[in-house]
Amino acid sequence: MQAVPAGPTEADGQTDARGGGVPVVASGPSCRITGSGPVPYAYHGEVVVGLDPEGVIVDRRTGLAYVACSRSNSVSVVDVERAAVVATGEVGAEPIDISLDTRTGRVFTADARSDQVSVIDTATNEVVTTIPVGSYPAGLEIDEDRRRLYCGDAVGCTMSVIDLDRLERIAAVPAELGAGAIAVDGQRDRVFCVNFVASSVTIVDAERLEVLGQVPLRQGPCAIGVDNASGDAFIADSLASTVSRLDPEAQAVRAELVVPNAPVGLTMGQDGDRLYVANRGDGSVSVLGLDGAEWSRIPVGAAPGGVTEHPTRRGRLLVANAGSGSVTVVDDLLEGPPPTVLEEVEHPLVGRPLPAIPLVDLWTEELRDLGEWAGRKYVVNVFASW
Amino acid sequence: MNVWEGVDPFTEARQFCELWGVGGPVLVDPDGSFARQLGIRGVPTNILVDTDGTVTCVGASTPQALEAAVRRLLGPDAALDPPAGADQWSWNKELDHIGEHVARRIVKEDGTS
Repeated sequence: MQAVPAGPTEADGQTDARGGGVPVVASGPSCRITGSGPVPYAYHGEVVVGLDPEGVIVDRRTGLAYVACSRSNSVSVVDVERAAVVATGEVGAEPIDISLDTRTGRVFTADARSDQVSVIDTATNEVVTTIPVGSYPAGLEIDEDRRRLYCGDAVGCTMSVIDLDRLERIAAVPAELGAGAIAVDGQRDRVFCVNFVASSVTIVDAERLEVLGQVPLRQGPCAIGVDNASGDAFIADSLASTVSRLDPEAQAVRAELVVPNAPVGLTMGQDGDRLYVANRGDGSVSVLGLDGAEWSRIPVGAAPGGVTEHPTRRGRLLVANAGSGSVTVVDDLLEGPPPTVLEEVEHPLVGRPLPAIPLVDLWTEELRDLGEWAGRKYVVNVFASW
Repeated sequence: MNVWEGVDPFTEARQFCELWGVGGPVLVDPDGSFARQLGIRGVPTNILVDTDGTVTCVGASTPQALEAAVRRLLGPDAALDPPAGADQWSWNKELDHIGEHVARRIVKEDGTS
């Protein structure tokens, strides 16, 4: 892999991506960070977009990124080089995933609470039509060779097949509850649909649109990528904090890769030697070798989800951070496996007192603080509804 | 502690708690300022606190990791009572249950059946 020259960074690799100058740490109990020496990544910038951004895609023709902001019901258009939002367009309710047809310049969003796919003309950034799909569409993937768009319908338990040129739903392949993330293996005529609730993956013959098999996975699978060389699929199991490496021929998981905490996003590196996993529970992206070795861990914004590699700038990652409502643009500088092993470190809060800050009680709406539990042993679970 | 809801945090958090059957106190940190002060960068995250107010663990988000962290916090002699029905509990059954709730919620919101 060629080293990517760092762009105009807002923060160097040892400070917060938001430029606050705060030392960055991962948040798991067994966090690992790089040892001494320069970190193997460089921040290009962080862009505030709409609320709860989940999906992100880059147009190779223009260098513009399109971000599905699920709680704003909108798509933010980002000039990646300038790290700035240049346009915003409304779509349906709760757009989760996003995809791009480079041939026509159309962007598609899976509008989960509208049961539709919105079609955006990137020349005007306006919705030109909507396509009804199954209930609660949550994942999209383009099959350029067949001129199709696949859509995982989570509650409908189907994978919708859309004709990219006619913009019509032409088939619905049975999947399972929580159908969402999709990957296409064009070389082997396979489509994979990951089922979050059923904890499985549906393997489909792309030519005949017939189900080849359903393979059980660890809990909460929600992102997938295919290794072109082997045909293996890598699937992020969000509730198990693992990535399953699936052998589609054997219809079996051949390995489980351990990642920090709640992997929600995943994309295969363009060089074919690594994958990138966005850890929602850790605020980081893990750079993993295909054997599961964690090469580096890149701190990003809060609660990251969708991650994509820039199509024309190798190693440049765009990460949608649901918690901070932003997109981190960061360059992975590693040319291969690092010479040193990452070190285990504890979160800096461990061993220190938990501050007592007043917060509003959800049920009574009165101010309370954690000091109420002084003298007891207790657990604070930090959660969001998405 | 609920964080980063963005839109209508109290409604979203209440619906989530009803969906998952979350009982007990829930504090709301809508803009994540408290989480940021703690250095929490993602969800879900668990923070374990000892009697003197000292944090003993941050993270532990999988059931196995949380149980191990709780055992360390309580000490080797402490008995952890499994929740009622735990012997018959399974992830897949639980996820099926959640799926039914999600489906019902969406149907209800859409007004369709």
